[in-house]
Amino acid sequence: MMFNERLVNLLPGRMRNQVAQWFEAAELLVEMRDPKVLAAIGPAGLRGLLLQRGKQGVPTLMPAKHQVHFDWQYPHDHEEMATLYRRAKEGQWNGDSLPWHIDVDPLNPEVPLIPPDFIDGEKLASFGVRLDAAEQVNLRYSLAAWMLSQFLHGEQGALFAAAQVTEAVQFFDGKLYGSTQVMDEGRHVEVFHRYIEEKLNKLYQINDNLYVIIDSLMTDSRWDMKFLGMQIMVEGLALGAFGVIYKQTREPLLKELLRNVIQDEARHVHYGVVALREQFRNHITERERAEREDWAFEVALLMRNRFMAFEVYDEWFAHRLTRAQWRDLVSTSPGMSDFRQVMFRRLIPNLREIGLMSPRVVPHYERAGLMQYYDGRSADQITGAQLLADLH
Amino acid sequence: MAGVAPWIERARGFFRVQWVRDARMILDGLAGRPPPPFTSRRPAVPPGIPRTLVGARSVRVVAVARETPDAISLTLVDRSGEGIAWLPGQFFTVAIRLRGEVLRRAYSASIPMAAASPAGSVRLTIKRVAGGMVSQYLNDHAAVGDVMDVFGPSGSFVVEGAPAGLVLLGGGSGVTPLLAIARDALTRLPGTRVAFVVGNRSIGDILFMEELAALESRYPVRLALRFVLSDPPSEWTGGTGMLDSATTARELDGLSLDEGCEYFVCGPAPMMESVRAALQERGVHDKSIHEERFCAPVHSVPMADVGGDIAMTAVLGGREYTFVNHAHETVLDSALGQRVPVPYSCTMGGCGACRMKLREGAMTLEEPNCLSAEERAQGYVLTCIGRATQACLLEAEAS
Repeated sequence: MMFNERLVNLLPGRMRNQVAQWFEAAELLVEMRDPKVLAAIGPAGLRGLLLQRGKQGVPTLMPAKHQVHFDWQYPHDHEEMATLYRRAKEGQWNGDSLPWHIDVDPLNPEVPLIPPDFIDGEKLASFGVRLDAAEQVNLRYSLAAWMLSQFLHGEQGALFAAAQVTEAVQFFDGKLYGSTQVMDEGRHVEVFHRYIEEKLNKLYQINDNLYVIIDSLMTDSRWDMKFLGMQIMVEGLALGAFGVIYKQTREPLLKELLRNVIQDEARHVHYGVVALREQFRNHITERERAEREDWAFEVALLMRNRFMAFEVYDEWFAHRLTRAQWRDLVSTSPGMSDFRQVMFRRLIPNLREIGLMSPRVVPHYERAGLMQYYDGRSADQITGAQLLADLH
Repeated sequence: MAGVAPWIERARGFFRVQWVRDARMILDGLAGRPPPPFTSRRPAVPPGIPRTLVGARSVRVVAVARETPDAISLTLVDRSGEGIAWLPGQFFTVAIRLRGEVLRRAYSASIPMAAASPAGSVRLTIKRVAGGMVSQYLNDHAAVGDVMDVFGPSGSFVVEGAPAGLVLLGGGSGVTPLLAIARDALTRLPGTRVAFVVGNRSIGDILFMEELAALESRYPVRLALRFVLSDPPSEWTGGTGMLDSATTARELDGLSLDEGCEYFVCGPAPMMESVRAALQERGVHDKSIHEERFCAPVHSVPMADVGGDIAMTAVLGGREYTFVNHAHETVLDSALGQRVPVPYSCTMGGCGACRMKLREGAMTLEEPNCLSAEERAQGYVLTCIGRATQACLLEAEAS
């Protein structure tokens, strides 16, 4: 790391950030010791981190290789999924019914979108950058728009992944349930996009690391990998982020929007736990299970370490801070640690429940400081309402 | 010719190929041109903000800042509490009652920078004009708490879409609308580069020097800022000379300008003419040259000279209205006073919003005003600075 930094500092100024970024990407791939995991994530890593396919300004085409599973007998094959399907039908809501008339001023310090502690002003000052009050408000606006933009990009991934999983899953009750999730994700894309376009007027490009996760899921041919990635990991990440913003925002429209979205997401994660528990216990070999276990751990680390708002850095600080300083600033901010805590409080019990926390990987999680969340409740034991109540 | 089209098509196909885009991404990254971090999701003209706003609004001065010995900025808020919506580059008309007469003058708006500025406020910058009653008055007497009427926003000196580059050329107080345009483009249009040439007599005359420098340090790559002084101090390292054709050409040569730039020019009339000549010399298309002229009309026709009440007819949207142009009133004032909904904005002959076609009759107009020779030949008049001398038939353009 130190060696890299020194090397990078020898380069001409304009190249420095780009090369530092590539070193980070290389580090990420080198750290993946398991060759199977590397094979699953590596190509997507190159496309996302090196070629920045998500930022090329044109639509991205990703080849999908899964098999579509038809069943002409229409079996009632999974009671818990059938129950989820009924609940999902009753839980539908209309994005138009949110209070869109509320006027949102992202620069009004009286009604902050996100709390001030997302960036530590004193630490920033210790790096030699002082922001006046107006700039601080503006930076918070950028961070809020960045987060919501990533939510939107994540929801686009979730929409297509939900559609793919609905095609590929072998349970027919799961397919019916999946159709409601496709509708849910479509609605989430609708409301986040509308909020960004009408109220924030600013759409950030997809974060490279989020792109890597989405790309690796969409192009993986195994439905349970898509499912694990989208339903457990990305939805888990989203629930963490939604939860923190929901708890802390003072902006009433955003709060109402997130309240509705969180209730849908709770159903989605619940389905993920039910379907994958069945799959991992009864339908795959131990070797395949272990591979998924390692994959989940790598993605959990990716989400913990890499989701660092570098797009905001590019906009604001590319000429004033190094990437390492920015990472330090973001990863130690109280807002971000709150976010990580909510995320892993949800994620770890779910991984335990679907059987991806065997004694083999526990020491890894222990080292990453994530075992403290092991005894929490998993998504199948918790309703949307409880989830919201937990956040207060 | 027949062979050319498929060739172009093939070349285009090449650039659409994924690996070419990938390679370009890497090269751009190394050249310090990373992809823009975000895109604006605001249409260039936000829905609900009319280009011209009918009706005066009552505003209160919440801050007064002395920019230079000859210029002040007033930060204004709407007394109703409603935010003031406008587009960067537009101006507002201030109406001030002095010695029993209401005088109207247009001033460009910029975005208040101070953290304390309330949301929805607007900042107008007023440079003292020799012999100018309103500018003198405001420079000497404007104070926090003052209440005044303003019309607007008006003007079409605004950026449409997201051009690859903006070249802003400002002289004296002409920098005001350009500052608003620059700040907006830098924050809202991440793919747009901005070159800003600011001409003044001496250092002390430069408006918004600190704000410009702050913008430059915030956007060191996307903003190229040049100060040009006609009376520079001895240690001056910036540009020198009046912004005439030769200086402008030299300054433009010094900037590495991309294709597809839009040029925005605002300043004193002689400077604007020179700059236009320099741009045309370089082959810049007229469509890409945007100019903001400020006319300060003088009363060429004393009110007493105009006769008594005159019968008027106005056709608006296919409907016919009749009203009387009273002596001592402009056609616009009479029409509005008699509830005839004629269009207007700046009310001082500067924006053309009240332009109507004079089908019959005769009117005198205060000069100078913003009507072009062509418009005059076609029979257009401005009701806000016009007085009827005979019974008139006026027709509004279909909108």
